[in-house]
Amino acid sequence: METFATIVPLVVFIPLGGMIINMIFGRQLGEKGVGAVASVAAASAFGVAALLFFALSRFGYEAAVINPPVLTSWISIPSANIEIPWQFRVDTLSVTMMLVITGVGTLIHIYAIGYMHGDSRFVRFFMYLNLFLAFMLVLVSANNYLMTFVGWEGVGLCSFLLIGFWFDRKRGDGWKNSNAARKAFIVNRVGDFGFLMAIFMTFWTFGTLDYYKPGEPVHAAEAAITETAVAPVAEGGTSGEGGTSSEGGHSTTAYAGPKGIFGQAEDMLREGRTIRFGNTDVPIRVVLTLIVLFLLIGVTGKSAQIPLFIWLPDAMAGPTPVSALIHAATMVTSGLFLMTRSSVFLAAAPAATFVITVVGAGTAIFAGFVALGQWDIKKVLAYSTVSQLGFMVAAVGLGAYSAAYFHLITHAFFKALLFLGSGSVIHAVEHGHEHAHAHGHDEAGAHDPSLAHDDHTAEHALHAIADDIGAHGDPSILHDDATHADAAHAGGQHTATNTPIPETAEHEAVFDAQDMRNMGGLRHRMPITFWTYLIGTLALAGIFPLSGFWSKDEIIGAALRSGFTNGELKGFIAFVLLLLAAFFTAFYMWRQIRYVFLGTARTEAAENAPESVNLMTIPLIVLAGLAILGGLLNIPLGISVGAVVLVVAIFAAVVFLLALRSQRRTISGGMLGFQLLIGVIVVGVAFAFGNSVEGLTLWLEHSVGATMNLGPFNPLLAIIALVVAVGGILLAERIYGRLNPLTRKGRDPLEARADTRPAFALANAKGYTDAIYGALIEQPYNRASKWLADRLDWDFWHNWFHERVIFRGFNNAANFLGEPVDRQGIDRLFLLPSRAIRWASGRLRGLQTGYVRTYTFTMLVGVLLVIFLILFPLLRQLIGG
Amino acid sequence: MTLELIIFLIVAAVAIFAAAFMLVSRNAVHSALFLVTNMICLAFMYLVLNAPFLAMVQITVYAGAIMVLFMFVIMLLGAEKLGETPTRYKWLPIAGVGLATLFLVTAYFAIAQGNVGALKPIAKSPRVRVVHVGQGVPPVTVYLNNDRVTDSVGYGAASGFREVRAGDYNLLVFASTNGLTPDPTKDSPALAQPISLRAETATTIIATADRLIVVPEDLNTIDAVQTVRYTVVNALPANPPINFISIDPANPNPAPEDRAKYITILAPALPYGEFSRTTTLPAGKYKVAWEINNQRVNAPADLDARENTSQLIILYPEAGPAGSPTGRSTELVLADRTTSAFGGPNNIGETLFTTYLLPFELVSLLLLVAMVGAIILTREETVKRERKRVVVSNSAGVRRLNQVSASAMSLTEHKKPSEGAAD
Amino acid sequence: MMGNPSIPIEYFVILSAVLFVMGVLGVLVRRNAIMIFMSVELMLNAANLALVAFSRQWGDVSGHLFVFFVMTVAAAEVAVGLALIVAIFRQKQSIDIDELHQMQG
Repeated sequence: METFATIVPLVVFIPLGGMIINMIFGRQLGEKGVGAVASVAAASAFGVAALLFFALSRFGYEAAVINPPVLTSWISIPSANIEIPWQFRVDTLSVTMMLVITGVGTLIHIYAIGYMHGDSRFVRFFMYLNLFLAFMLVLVSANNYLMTFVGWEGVGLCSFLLIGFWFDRKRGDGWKNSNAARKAFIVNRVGDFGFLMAIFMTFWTFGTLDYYKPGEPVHAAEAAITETAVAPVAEGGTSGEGGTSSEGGHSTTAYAGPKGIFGQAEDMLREGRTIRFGNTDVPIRVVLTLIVLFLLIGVTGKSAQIPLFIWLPDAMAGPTPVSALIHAATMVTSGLFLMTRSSVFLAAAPAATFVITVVGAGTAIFAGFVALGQWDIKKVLAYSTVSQLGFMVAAVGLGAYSAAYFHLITHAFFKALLFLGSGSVIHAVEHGHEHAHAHGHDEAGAHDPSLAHDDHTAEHALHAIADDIGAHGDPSILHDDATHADAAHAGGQHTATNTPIPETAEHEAVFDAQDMRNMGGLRHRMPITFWTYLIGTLALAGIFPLSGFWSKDEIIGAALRSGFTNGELKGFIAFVLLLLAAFFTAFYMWRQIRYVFLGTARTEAAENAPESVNLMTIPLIVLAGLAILGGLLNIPLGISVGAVVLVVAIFAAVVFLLALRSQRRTISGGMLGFQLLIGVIVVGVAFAFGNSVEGLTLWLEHSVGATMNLGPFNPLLAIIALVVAVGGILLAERIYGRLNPLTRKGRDPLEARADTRPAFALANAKGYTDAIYGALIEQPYNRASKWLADRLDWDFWHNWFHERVIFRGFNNAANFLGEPVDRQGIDRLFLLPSRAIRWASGRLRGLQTGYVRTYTFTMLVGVLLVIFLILFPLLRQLIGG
Repeated sequence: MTLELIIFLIVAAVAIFAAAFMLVSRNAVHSALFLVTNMICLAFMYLVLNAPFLAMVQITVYAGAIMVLFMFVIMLLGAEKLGETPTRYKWLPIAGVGLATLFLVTAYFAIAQGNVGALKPIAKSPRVRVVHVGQGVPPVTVYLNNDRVTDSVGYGAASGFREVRAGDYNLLVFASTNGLTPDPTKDSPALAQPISLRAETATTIIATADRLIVVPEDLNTIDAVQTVRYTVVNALPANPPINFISIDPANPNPAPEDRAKYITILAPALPYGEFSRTTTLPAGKYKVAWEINNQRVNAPADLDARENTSQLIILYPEAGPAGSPTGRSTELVLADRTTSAFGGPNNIGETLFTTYLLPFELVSLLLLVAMVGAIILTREETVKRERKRVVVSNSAGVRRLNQVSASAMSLTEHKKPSEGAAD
Repeated sequence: MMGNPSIPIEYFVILSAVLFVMGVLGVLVRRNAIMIFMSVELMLNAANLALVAFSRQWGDVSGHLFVFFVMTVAAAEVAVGLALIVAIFRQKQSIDIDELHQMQG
């Protein structure tokens, strides 16, 4: 296994290589080439992940810790006992994530080739996408917290880059995009603070950051393997012991080598150790609770839970593939991944898990509620994502890791599908808008349809940031009415091309291609998109036998068990809230279907919307297939596998035939064949899993430290969940089930009714979260920074200190030194000899009288002097004697 | 108070007065004449001081040439009349007088206390020469103590005069053996005897075969110019005394009875190793011979006695070509000039053209250059050119000067010095 | 007359000094250039007298020779000097040396 798993660095390097190739040769390759390189890189990474998957299943699900070829030690300070290596961990958990990431990622890459067609920075987009893949894979394949953190930060960076991809839009739109990107980054940063604190505490407590050292077995997994049936193990403080007891009875060989954090945690829990923090001794359980709570902060940041979810709706400013990949399928799930990895900690911290559950469930229902009132198609999906993440986090809090993971995978399928579908819709509406207003601008190639709608997403982001709290109760006011509006905002290219035509002046209001009120009746215009979108919606709502049904049911079942069977409060709370959230989910998704696809077209743009290109629809189809068949991953106990497979297969066939029938007009041979191929592949996968009930659970148990808290299939609960979902759909159908759901004034029916209007307004205003954050955090922060900049830095430091004290003081000192010291003093001193000489020479000049007689006289005086000198002894003698 | 002294005082007074009048006189011609008077008085002084030549030169050159030149220029420039312009440095004459007084006083004291009169004339150092007439003796080298006087002197040869310090010496005569120069430290002298040398003497050392004959001579002035001083030395060994005679050429071999008429005995009965008394002869050509017991020994030889010479005649045995004696005798005549009278033109000329030749030439060259320069300086063009080259600065004085020079282009008429000096 | 030095040499030297001093005075006091020259000649003569006197005292004829040279040089100097005076006179029409102060500094 070890030797086979040494290919795992490739899974990181192949996307990196793709990025580099695109970086260097991007220009030469052209759009198709660049897209091909990126997609091939993603697909190759998928291939490597698949190989690892097969290797794992072949070799007994052992985890392998691989050191990359060159980087033998990453951070190594032997004297301080700090050893943090760059090690890849190949185990079932990470391989699962890899498969999801690369699989969905490949599809989205292919989709993006068509979506980003004509963009000026095409190459860079794919570079960023590949970079994101690389970082995400680093995150999931890490064997220690720090490497995970590297991936964590890296995906945050790529998210920033990609959200703000269109930062150079004109007329302020670019600013909206970059603001959204910055918001995402900063909010993530806040979460990262929590993560870092958790890392520090972990390192302090355990002395290492490795999950498991090479060769160290995962105890609970071992224990789970040796038991055929998994009994529900009581949570809360005893998982350690429970694991130990079962371990004690069935351990194969006791592992005596160095242990990673989880192994050490288990040992410490057994021993009841206390950790010394400065002057205080803290019991290990408290330490673990703190660590988990800090991790929770990180998770709320990355996985968009309360309170740090605010960036996700604004992140819709990015291109749709980005939203699909990052903010639906992969990045936002990294929080989940982290939690699952740290399951040992969670198992030891019941208080923390309570908080986690409450946070998750609260997020689920809150976001579900807000999604009811959104008009933007992508915003609905964004809040839906937040809500579903809440589901997953709640599941993790309840200890149902496999349920959370199951939901993660299925959510990746159908949420990516929904996002890509929405991108297709938006694309089509923009095209329709163009064709509808035939202003002679046939530069379809020059026209970048992707510009317009995402502009408006950025505008939404701008509103979110702006400080007007209640002014935009109805964002529809700020946009154009449902009537025609020229896409004057579409990158300014319209204005460039149609100057002499007076219609430009008329339609100066902005056309929002993402507003659902501008759509309608797209079912007949875009059949493939419609059918796949419908499948995604049903999967999300949780309709039997689609994948969402199974995964959501597991989560609710875990909540039920936790609440009723185990009597935990969090279970009760989670059960109630999650059920309500499921209701909301079905409701707003059907609302969206009615607004977008059913009914009649409300605008000319919708009337003329074309179906998207193959590059875009094929991934939709593949994802739809996965959304249907995803439930086969983890068939719960108590249900016959074969029955499920059969039902699912029939359902899939029906759907596909229906789809086939409706698009016979535009069918092409290749598309049909492709669909059939998908079906074959999926059935094959189903067989691969088919021999194991609870396939995912058992698969994951090899890697997850704590127990999984599973239970058998509860048909009553399944029916209740189904009733809830269907009830939501029916209610939505009742309210919106008209040709034109909008009222005469163009308002939502809920808004029109007086009793539901406050609720709708609250939902539409996103619960005023942005306003609250603005008032509580941003404004004081801005004020403080303004004060610091203007008063402290500029007025005091610069104006006073630098100017007066340093500059003037220095000047004065220099002047002092220059003027009195240098000029007056020193110069005078040195001029003194010259002046003296001049004076002396002036005096001596008088000797040169020019008169011979004086010269003669002088000579004679000199002669006399000489004679005196010569005769001096004689004269002295004379005088003396 | 001898006559000389009186005359001296008178002449000195005249000189001083003439000088004084020269200084005071307004008229330049008078001054010049007074200066001439002064010079003549000085010429007289020279005469008193045993400098006849200089006295004449003084008269001739100074009074006769230089003062005449002065006169020429005075008359040319019309400088007998001098302007009455005020002097600039009034203090100068007074200071000058003061200086002069100081100088005189100092000079008086210097002279009075300096014992000038006690100066002694410089004595001439003694001179030595060696003559080798020893038969059969190899060439000799003579040392005075450790001082080598002569190099090897051959047979029949005489060295030149060499000045040595006055004093007592040990005279050492070395015979060079085998042609090598003898070393005084190693070899033993052939002959040695003490000798004392005094100033103002010239000693001739004659080395014979067995003895040294030391002949002192006085090479000072001979009073009578037309005389010759002679000394005869007998260096013929193993011979009876010789008579050195001069023979009348008219009758070289007179009969014995006419001997007294035709033969003059210059040095009678001179034994071996002795020299005759220094006597004088009138200058002229003589035929001399020497005889033993009135028997002529050799044929008469010529003696060219020039005036003012001192002749040393040495008779020695003749040696044949191989150095073997021939049995005959011959004479060696060494004639030296005697010094001329002090201060006389002869003396001056001798010194001028021997010791002081180079300065003489230089001074004459200087004189020549001065002549040429004087001619050039006084040419018309030179003056003109100088006039043009005058402007070096723009001071008022120069400008005035140029105006003056520009207006004074015509050189033939000369303005009066008073007008000229009024600028 | 070849004298015995009956007159002591000091007399001559004093005479020489007196004459020299008078020459000096003449140079200092007189303003006529020619007069100055003549004073210089007087000085030279005085020096000559001293030289001859000492020559006689020493018995060395070199003193006479020196006097000879001095005379020659005096002659040369007089020639050149008088030529200069003539040239100056031609230019300035005056031989008052107090007017020849162009070289003053």
